[in-house]
Amino acid sequence: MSWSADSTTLENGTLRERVVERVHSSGARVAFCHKTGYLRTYACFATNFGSIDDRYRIGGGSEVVLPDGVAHFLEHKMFEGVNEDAFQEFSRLGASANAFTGFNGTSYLFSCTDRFYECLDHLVRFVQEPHFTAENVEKEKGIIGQEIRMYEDMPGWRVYFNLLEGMYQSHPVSKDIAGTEETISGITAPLLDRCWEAFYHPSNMILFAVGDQSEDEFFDHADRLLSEKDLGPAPDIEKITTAENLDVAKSRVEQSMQVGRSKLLFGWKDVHPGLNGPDLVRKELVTDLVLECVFGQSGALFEKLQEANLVDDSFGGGYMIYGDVGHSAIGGDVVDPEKVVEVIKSELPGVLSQGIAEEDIDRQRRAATGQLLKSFNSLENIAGSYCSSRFMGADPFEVVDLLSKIEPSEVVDRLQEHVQPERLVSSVITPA
Amino acid sequence: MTPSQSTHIPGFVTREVGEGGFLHVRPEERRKTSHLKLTWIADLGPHNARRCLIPACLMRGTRAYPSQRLLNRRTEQLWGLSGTTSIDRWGQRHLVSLVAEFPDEGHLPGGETVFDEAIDFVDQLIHEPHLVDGYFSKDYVDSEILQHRRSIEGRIDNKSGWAYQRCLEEACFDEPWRYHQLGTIEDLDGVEPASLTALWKELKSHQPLHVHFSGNMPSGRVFESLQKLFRDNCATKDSLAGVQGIRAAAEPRQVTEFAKVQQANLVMSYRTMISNDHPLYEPLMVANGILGGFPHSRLFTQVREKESLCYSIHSQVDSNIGMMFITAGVDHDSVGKATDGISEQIDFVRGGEFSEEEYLMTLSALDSRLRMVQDSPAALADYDLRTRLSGKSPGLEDLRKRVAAVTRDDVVAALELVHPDVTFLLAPEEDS
Repeated sequence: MSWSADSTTLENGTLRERVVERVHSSGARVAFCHKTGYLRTYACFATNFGSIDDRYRIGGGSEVVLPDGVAHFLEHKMFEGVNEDAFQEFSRLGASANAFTGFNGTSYLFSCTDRFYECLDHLVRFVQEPHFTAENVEKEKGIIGQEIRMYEDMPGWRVYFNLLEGMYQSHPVSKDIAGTEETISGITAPLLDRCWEAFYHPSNMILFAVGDQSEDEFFDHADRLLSEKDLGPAPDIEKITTAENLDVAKSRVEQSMQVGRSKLLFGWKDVHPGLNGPDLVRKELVTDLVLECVFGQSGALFEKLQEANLVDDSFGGGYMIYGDVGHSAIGGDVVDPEKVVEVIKSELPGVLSQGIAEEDIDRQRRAATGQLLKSFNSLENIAGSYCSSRFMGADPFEVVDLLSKIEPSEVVDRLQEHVQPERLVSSVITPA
Repeated sequence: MTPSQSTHIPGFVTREVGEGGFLHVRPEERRKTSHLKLTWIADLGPHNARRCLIPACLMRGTRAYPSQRLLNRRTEQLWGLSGTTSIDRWGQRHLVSLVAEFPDEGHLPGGETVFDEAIDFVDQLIHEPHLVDGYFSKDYVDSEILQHRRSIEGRIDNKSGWAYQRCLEEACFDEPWRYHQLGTIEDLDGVEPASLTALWKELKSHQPLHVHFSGNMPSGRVFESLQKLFRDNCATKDSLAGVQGIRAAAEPRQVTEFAKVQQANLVMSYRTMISNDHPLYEPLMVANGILGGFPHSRLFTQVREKESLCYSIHSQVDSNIGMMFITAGVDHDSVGKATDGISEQIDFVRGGEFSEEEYLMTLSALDSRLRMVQDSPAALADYDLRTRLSGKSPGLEDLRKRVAAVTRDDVVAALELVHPDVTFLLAPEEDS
């Protein structure tokens, strides 16, 4: 095997970063970012299969419905080898390894200071050699059950997923990534095998490395490695999305937990089927500018809330976009969540009629440029940003140039479109 | 084991400024931002809470930017300069820090500059706060007292952190490190603008100050610019209390408390009698690594993976206080099995039964972890400060050599000194 197309180079003058990418004949997208002088090299092998991928069909066949938490369960079980846990070999090589499952992807990763290519071999091989048995799947349910309980005791996690439960009527983004003890009870070894065959084909995956390695050597090595195993033609997978309209499921969700302070998150959801690539990046960026200008700590609204001792430095927010849906989440630790929401609701009409000053947008542009520069210090952020952008069909560097191109009118229009007081959803955790 | 080659990453060059001021500067060309950290060192004690109010009030406004909103607008103008404060502890010391990160000028468009303005801004934050009639504004003080009270009340939100602190308080009931870094609500009673302003002046003039800078700027210019941050500082070697000795374990005992949680949080404490200057300091690091510091460690592979008793489990050593802690999140019904399993693993390692592979993997993982520190200016600054406060040489390469020289017999000898102290359990309330 070899490369099925010439390499593509993505470059950005402001960041002074360069990513070279190629598509391997196995179907895998392979990319490399050179970072001079870093002792650490970071690599990930990521599949575009996350917690929101809960229904699919292959080759026009019948629909397969997956239990909540299966992508995360699969991630746990991939580390189980025939003879030993995959962590053991990483430890022998002196590397630090991990994995995480998100809404739209699952990433297996390591970082090391030596023996990079041996680690890379191990990464790709263990992800391409599943070993699911009835016994080891049952055993994992106990461990994941404890993980789920740990999340149930984390108020920051609960307030976020309760917000999504309020926003979405049926979209799987509102489901906890790990599922529940009940949903994972139905997971079996054959089910994991089917998911692996469907979603872990190289054509659905990215192999990315960032560090002070030779670019040519990396691609030569990756070519040999990905050619070791012929996983056949790419399955003809159709992910089935769950339609969602703009109506919210519940405008308010409240849970009682043993917490010292109440926690509040509020926000709005977007539904945008068909939006892809650069349009998604643009929407995310413009919305983040809106949220920072309106709810950020340099804004009048924050000042008003702070002067009334209703919020503290934990107050803030952001926008998250996942394919056909997206949502804002704003809030923090508060004493009187009802009062905060009341003030927000009473202030929003004024904010909407006033719009956003051009000067505020320009200042946020400068701040965002600085934050982007900072984020490209981190090997983990570079890899995460590359993979998530590519899974959305976007260019990871696009955001930098977009920052200077966005017109103030676009930010103001987006404010009117997204921030609609009557559609506000809030989530509150109160002390038990 | 022979450690891999030394790394040639420049370390800090230190200049003493008076008796209690230390300016540590290193060039960093690999990154896109400069990292500046100021840390005042004080003693932990019953007045930690009011000391926490100082950085909080400094971040509310300066003479030039007298409100938090104006302050934040200024940081946005300075290309998103991130100015944050933190409160921490290290052994018997209370660490009050302010961190600023801002872009290196070479990355800014159109020849813009930021270094001088950023340093001026930090200088204003610590030396020229917004004062009313010579004191911190009463509104700001009252507001920060309220927010800090809420932070203290909010500690219960992190159940594992809460359990750890309770275990520490039980085990070290009369030792100085029992005090939580956020302090107590009672300590906030009676704090007034005048007393807090006096405390700020005392902190900046009488407590030792360490300033760490990493960035792409000629070191001569950095030394010259940062000198002003030490003005007023006349700390002496007597500014801190003498080093408190460590003590042996008393009769082991168990403490159980109840909370509204899904999962029990178990913290097992041990006395090691191994302080920072003990010859078995590095062997204890290795013993901890074999036992519970990594995914290949005994606690992870045996108690979590083999017995499926928990999701999170790990061990950590604190040689400032001569203690080791093992923490785990477990189902309440399995607590007995988990404590037995943990004790078995300690006996196993103490008995020298660990494999050659486990031993070598741990040396390799520790060496890799120490090398990785050098890719992060923040981690390097932390490492430098904490090793100095522990009375050790901050040379990373020397530590790597000492760790690599640890033998299996050394590991056994270190664990022979480890004896159980308090076992603390935060259990689900319905089981009480």
